[in-house]
Amino acid sequence: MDVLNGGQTSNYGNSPSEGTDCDTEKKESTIRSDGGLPSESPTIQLNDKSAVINDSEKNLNGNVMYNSGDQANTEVRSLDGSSNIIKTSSDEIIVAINGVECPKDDIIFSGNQLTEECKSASVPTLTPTMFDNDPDQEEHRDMFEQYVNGSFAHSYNTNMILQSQDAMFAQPLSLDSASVMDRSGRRTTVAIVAESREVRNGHSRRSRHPLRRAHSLGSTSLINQGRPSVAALTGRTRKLYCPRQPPTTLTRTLSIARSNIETHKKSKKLTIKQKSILFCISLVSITSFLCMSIMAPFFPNEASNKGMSETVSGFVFSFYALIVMISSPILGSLLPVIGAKFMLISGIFASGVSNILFGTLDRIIDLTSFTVLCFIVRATEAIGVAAFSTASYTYIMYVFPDDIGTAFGLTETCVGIGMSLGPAVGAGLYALGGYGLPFYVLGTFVLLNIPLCWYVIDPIVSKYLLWLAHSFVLENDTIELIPDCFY
Amino acid sequence: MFLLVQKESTPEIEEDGIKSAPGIEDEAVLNGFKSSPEVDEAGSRVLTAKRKKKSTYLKLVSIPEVAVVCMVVVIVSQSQGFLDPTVEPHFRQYGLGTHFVGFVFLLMSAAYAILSPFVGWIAGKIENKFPLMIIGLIISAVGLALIGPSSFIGMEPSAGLSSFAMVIMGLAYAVAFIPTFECLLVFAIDHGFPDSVKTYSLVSGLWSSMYSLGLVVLIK
Repeated sequence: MDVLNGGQTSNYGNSPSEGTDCDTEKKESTIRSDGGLPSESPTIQLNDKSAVINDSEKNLNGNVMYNSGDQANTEVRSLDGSSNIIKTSSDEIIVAINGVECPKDDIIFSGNQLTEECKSASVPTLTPTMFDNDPDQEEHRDMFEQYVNGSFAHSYNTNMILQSQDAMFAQPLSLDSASVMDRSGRRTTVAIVAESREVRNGHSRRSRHPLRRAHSLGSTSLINQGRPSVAALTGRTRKLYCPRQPPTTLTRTLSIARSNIETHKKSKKLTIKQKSILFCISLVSITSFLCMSIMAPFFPNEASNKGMSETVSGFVFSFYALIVMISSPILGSLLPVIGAKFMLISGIFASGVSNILFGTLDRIIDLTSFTVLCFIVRATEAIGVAAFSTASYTYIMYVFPDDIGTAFGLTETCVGIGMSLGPAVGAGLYALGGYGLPFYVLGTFVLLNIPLCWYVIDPIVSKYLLWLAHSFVLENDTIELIPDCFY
Repeated sequence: MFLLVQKESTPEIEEDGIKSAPGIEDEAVLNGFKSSPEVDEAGSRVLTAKRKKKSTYLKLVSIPEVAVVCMVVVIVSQSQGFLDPTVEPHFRQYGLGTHFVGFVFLLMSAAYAILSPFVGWIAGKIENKFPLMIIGLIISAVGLALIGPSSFIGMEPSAGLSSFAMVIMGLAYAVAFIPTFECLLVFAIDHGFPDSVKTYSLVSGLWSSMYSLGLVVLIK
């Protein structure tokens, strides 16, 4: 059978030392089309050295297996069709995840794409069943973390890819991987999965667009929080689930896969980290929105005592919203550059300091300078609030990929509490200590959040360029790897 | 890997029979990057990023669903801000004093604050969040009609009715408001934005901006 995969088995991960790529023959094969495939099937160039047609007795009935050329010590892998083991001479690497259900006349892709780190880590036998039973095994996690951190999250024939939090993988690609999951096991993004056993999609709500993002060639199962809404291009079922499109029939028998949609056991408990971050964000929200609203009961009076007209003092309030409206989109686009944590903390700082400054404004007698300074200080506070609210919303999306709604609801609760208690607190403190006291007290409370946030919250984006490069590279691969038959 | 084969950075790759589908180019554009892979002598991949289009707000807002959700945010925040200056004069006719008005506002905020996490939880469970928003908007319409109360309802204005309407408004805000945030992100990702911090920050900025826009529009 002259069949081959969509080009996933390239010499992609070859080390530069293996520079014989140039003179190796290219071999062309065509993807076999079972009817519905476009007539101009993609032809794939394969490294002849890497494309090993294994016709040993273990390779059953003309299955064609291609291995990307790795180092010389990793010899021909034999595919045991029944035990789903691919053996290398050096290490026993279970990479062919497809073996169990392998029909005799089907295609097997197994571009082995383990990098040096991974090989040196001597990947233990990770049978898919093992993986299914315990997806959070620590030792595997550590091992693959090393691997993933070292390079892009491309993994062909690895059993799992862990997306570490430090490395900003926008879209980890996983060819032939059993699963893509991150360190916490929750925040999962999947991209291209060829012949994987399962695609775990931790947040279906967020990547319901798998045809663009999660291409799964012949995955046996697609785990999407229990809902089969994400596309699994499984060869057996020949059905394509996509919420945005009517189910499409795939006429291509690519894989050995079975439709076996399992339920993703979403861990319901929030981790301590998540809880503490949520607590921080809530605290900041409460105090800041208290600050925003404390001046409502007494500021118009004070301002009119200075001779400010009612229209202008009303505009001091509305100026705030205007500045937030203008500045938050700008800050939102700046956030990946300057970092979420920095923006959060500097926003808290700006709003706290300007709040304290606002308390000193009543000492100004001159109406014009009072008015101007009111606007300026109010604008700084607004910019600070815009900065930290943008950053905290970003954190909510980042830290709670499964529970954005709940987390956002909780912060909104705090906003509501702050807004509603603000006037009462402001009036009470004003009665106690005059114009300045409410601002001083609340401003100090806001500033007190800074050390807490500094300690609790981790930075998201430390190196923008790294992140950009990663996201670019991965997106690039996404683009390049998708065979046209899926469009 | 395809990209080893291709030397040109054109998305239309005809050589080697690999023809890129139109959708692929769309994705490239949507993701905000246009790639141009290059191959060096050693065969390893060198990639140079060429940013063709940014993931901008314009692109985000031009998604129809996102635009609709933004409108919902603006409308809800606008009606929220609308109550602040108007309810106090309205309650003067009942002769109950400013403290009572403050209490009514507190009731509204409490209703909003209590319901928000539940709505968020429900919104996380359901796939399509538009019904939730529609329900919220309908309830808020009912609430706004009851505060007066409007003449077509034919009820006598009373403090109890107005306070009740305010509580209704608080509930309606929660129902209409909370799903919008996640909705924006979902639709952005659905339309090809990468699931990355960059998108999160764009969405956050957009949401804050739309919320404040509602408050600003009211004042003008």
